[in-house]
Amino acid sequence: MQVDRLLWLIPALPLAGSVINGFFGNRLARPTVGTIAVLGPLVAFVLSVLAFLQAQQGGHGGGHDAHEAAGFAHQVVWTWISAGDVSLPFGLQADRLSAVMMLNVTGIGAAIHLFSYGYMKDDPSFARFMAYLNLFLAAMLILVMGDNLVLLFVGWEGVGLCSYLLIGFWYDHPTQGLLNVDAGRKAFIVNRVGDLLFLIGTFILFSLANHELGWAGLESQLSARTLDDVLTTGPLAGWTVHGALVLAGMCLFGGATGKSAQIPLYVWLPDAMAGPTPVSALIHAATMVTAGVYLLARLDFLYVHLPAVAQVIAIVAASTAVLSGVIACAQNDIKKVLAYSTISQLGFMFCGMATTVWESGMFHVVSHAFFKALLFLGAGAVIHALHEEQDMRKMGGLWHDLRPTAVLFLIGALALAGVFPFSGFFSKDEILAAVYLQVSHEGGLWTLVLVMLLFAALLTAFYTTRLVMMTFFGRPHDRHRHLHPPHWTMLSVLALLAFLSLFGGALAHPFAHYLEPMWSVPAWRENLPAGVISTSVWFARILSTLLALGGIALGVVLYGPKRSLLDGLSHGVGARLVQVVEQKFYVDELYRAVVVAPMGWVADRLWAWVDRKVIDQGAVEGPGKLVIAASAALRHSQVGVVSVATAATLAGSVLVLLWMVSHG
Amino acid sequence: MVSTLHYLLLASALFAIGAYGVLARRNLLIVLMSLELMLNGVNIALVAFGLRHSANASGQVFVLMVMAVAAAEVAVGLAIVISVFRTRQTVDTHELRSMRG
Repeated sequence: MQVDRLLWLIPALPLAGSVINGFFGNRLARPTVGTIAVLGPLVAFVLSVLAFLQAQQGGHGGGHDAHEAAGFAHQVVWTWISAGDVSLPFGLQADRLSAVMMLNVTGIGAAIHLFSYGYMKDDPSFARFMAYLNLFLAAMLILVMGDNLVLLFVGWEGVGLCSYLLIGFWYDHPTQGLLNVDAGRKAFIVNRVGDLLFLIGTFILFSLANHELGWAGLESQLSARTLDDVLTTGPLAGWTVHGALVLAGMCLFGGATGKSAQIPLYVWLPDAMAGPTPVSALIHAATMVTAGVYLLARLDFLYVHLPAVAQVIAIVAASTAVLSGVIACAQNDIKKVLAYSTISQLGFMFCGMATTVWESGMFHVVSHAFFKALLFLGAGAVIHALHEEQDMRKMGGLWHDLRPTAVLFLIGALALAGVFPFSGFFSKDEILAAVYLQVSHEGGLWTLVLVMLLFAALLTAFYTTRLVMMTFFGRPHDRHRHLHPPHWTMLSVLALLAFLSLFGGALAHPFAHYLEPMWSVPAWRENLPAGVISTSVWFARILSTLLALGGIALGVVLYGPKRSLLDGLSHGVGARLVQVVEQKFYVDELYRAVVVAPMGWVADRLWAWVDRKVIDQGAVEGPGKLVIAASAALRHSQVGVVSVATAATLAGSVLVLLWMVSHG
Repeated sequence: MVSTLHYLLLASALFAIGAYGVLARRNLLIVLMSLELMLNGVNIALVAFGLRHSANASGQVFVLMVMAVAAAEVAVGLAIVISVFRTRQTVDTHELRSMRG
């Protein structure tokens, strides 16, 4: 079935739900609001499935060589920007890459909307919540369906806005530490830094590609450039085309570090956990934070020619994976652990993209969406049951009291730890295998990347085990607690996601095959002997299984029934070390001192001098004061005597007449 | 022979006398009368030029116009003077100084 003409409905349906619930939601019954909110994503999901199938039937034209002949659904909804030689359509497309992301977004999205109904139905602002969530989905769909870089950026900003709105959703709740609204602001402002880089990258590509910004146009224009040509005009005059492309690639990756929470811009994601838990699952684990990975996949034709940039990406991403993995080991807030885990897993995804084995990173996006959404929603069910308690030290022993939730959560945890046969095992292995291939091809820094990733895999298994042990096993913190049972919608969604986490690994091969026509691949990988590939795969499988089991064993030993070893470690130097990690290596404090405080100081001065002195007192009050002073001086000429005024008039008239006579 | 210059001299004299009256006298009624003198001085100048350029009737037409306006102005002006006198009990311009800045 051809869905070209229906593509606009996919983002429009959630948008319509958002408008209805946003404007009239408070007057509708809650089940009605919930139905409207779930229905949009659900229908969008069905349409996405159709688009997915159409892209598959479209042959192997892929998104690159033959845009028109490829057969995937494409719809120009209207001409959006038309100025001079620039013409940008508001065009939506569902090629194989977009279709995969659409299924991910609408599928997981619809499930999380359903979960949210059970989770949020007693909140006073339920309709507002659902409206935001729907709006997010619409923006995310524009991001993945846009057929040009600018439309992608529109969705990129749209999801950023929704993220901000949802992090600060409980703006009036009392909080410890950062206020909810401040957490939202932090996310928004940190992302601005990334967005600036994104824009600079876009501008460079725009000028290099002769003002083309559609995917096909970008690729054909960029590949037509000679890399050694020297640019003669513009701010980059004197640079070679290759140099400009490297700069663009770095800038766009910089944009991705903002949205996808990589070093140095990852600091907003842990604080984003102030939002309701379904938000953390949908936006800050399954969909929005993977937008950066999608961006790199979309621009594969660019990065495949920039191995140096790819190496930087790999180093940054692997460092992120290790750093956040370490921090996750010492957090006590269940959502914070999952947040740092998400950052770490995003690091894995970026490493996968950096190896140019694109499907490995993309598959981790999908399988991570399954199990991390499951973990977040499971954590949400636990938090819900314990009346908004998030501190794992106050949990413990929930295995018996919350049996169904605990079992489902455990499936997600095993998938995250990377245990065979859960989906996380397969997707993480693909990335490790890809990095291993890169090591055997180039060596050098890639060896470091591989070691870091293996360490991060060990950490993943460890902190996941710690999380499970602290939450579900051990002594209950309070024997007489009253638990809030999960709503049926919550349990059914957890079950669905657990099913996907359990069997998602089976998708690995068909997934890679489906996406294969999309990718640009470096020449050296085209004809690899099968032996090399299978070596890399087995290397990854065996080593990651060992590491996962090792991490789990370590977690069980330290956080199991006998905690004597842990108690022994947490004295003296050990305790201080734990504190440093628990305080996230004081990165927030460092940023506050190095970036926030100086900018605050400058802003203060600007406010005091420029705003108050120049603008308020100078430009605004100045003219008023001038008029007052001038009129105070001139008013004395108004003596109020008719004859004086008349004499002045007469004298003036005479002067004018004289002037006219003398000037002919 | 009476030339245009003579007419203009008369007109200037009338205008100057009127202007002096407007500026120097303090009685509003006298000021109004002096104003009429000024207008008529201008009228004489206009008809003098009309005589000189007899092909062009603008001068005469202007004079008729000025007369009509002056009549209306006197009517309004006198009404104002009466009104001022009723409220202030004076028509002395030096005592009517409420517009002083």
